Amino acid sequence: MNQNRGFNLSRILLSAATLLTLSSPFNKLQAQPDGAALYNNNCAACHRIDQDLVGPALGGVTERLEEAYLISWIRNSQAVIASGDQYAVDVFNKWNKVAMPAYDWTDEEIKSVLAYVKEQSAAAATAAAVPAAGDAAVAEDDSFPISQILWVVIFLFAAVIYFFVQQRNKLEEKFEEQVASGNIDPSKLKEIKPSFKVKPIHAIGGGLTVFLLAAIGWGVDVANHVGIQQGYQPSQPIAFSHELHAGTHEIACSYCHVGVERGKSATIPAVNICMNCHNQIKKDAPEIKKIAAAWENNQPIEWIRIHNLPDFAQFNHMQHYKIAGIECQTCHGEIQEMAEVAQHSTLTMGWCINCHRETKVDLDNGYYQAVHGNKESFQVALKEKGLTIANLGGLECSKCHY
Amino acid sequence: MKNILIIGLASMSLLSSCGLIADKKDPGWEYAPQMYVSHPYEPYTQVGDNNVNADGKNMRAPVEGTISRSGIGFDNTKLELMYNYPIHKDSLETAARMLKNPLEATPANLEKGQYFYGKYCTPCHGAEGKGNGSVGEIYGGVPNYQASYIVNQPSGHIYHVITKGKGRMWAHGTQIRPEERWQIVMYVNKLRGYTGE
Repeated sequence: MNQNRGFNLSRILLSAATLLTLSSPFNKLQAQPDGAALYNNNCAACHRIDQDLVGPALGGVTERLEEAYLISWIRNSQAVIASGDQYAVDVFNKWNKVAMPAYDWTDEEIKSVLAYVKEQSAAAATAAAVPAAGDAAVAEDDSFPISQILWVVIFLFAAVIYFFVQQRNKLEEKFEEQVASGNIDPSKLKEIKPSFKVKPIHAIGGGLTVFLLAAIGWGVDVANHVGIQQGYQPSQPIAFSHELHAGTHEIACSYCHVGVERGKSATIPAVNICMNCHNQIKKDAPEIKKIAAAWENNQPIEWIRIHNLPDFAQFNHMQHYKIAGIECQTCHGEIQEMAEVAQHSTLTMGWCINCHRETKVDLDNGYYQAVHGNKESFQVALKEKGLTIANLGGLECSKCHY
Repeated sequence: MKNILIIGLASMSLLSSCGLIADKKDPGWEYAPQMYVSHPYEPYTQVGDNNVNADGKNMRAPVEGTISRSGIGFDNTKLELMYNYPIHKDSLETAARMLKNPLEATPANLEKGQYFYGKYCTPCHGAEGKGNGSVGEIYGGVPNYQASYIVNQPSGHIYHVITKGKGRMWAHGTQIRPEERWQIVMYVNKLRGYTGE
């Protein structure tokens, strides 16, 4: 009986403990608002901890100002300013009179945000103390391998030269030995010892031949490249990097080249498109200042055209990019890796025609279903055979020359 | 003689392969340039000065007070009206109150909205509209669509901000067509969970 009772008691205790542990975090979540989430969703857009942005940096704000003041400010900053509070008016004026939205939050919610700001300020302060040492280490690491490789190459080069000089000296010694021991008749020395005497006619003839061959090579090369600008990589008036914009930041090509899905030209972005970001980002860099100058003077930037089709050949970006779904990279190469753009393709007629011969038409794009939808045998036949652009008249002269 | 031939051939290939001939900064030669260069003026090509336009440039700005008709059906008066957008940049509240999305809320429109959102908005606003795109992190001041002062704004507010800009965000009206902007508005509404007008 006793035993049984003890068992029951411990079971009750156990379940009570489980209930407590299960329920306590749940209660906590309900009672305590998530300051980090509130901060990131509402404040982070305009405030940073260690950096002025749209509004002032918030690092240490909980020490600068009293909590009650901050609460009233966050709840309705305009009311605080309207009350004539000098500090509030100064802050408002300093930050270009941009009104901070009013937040209809409870005291607990605002306190949780302030707690989060305090915590982040402390973290930022400790982080700021550390990096100097880290930077130095990184810099050393960077310089290390290049010099190392250079020294290895120099050493190998020296070793090879030393080896050949050694070998040559040994042969010479052997030859001298043979002469000294009388195995070689000194009077025939001239015939045996290898020598090559350069006569003037050799030099002139040889020089002329080298020059002629080089000239022919140059001529053939030039003739081969007439009208072909593959690899053309001019220096642009502004050192714009596709590697940074399209590569690192993955900005879509058509953010700037807005015409690519609308018409013949992919279009060169107007200055206002650059300024969408560069009215803020890196605005003190010399290259960016050129954009700002063009913007202020209402002058277009004179980019140097790289891809140049002759006037008698028509090309339409929309037809290729939007309708056919060809990637930009198919013709322009890995543009997202180019710090300075070079022409990737030859842009010759053979190059165009070849692609029209090889590229299969996308038969599942809706059009072929709509036109030939009920003729299943036709569909099957098309798919089995495969339909190329050439089959649709992609090799007709007047497709491109009109 | 053999040696000279080898040296000659080597220097020939060396010259042509080492880029001594093909300078990458030089566009090279052109055969019959009068056939290559367009006689009518082309907006994105300029060879020599233009003697007709005062600034010497082929490129022209659209005539002030005109709108582009390309891509709009002539019978679609709603879309034509969208091109004639008389609301001033600072009149955000007016725009928010007056503008209604003229497009039907079809899945096709929403899908296009997502497509254009991906092209024009994600760099700053992030794929989910949290304001955490890789450019937005540097640019700063990009709000989360869930922020209390955005989440319940009407569609017209979003449309006006795309068209004319707001705060740090510059106008994107030159890049995105009106119908595309309304499609983007639909997708932004989906991202912030807004179901109103």
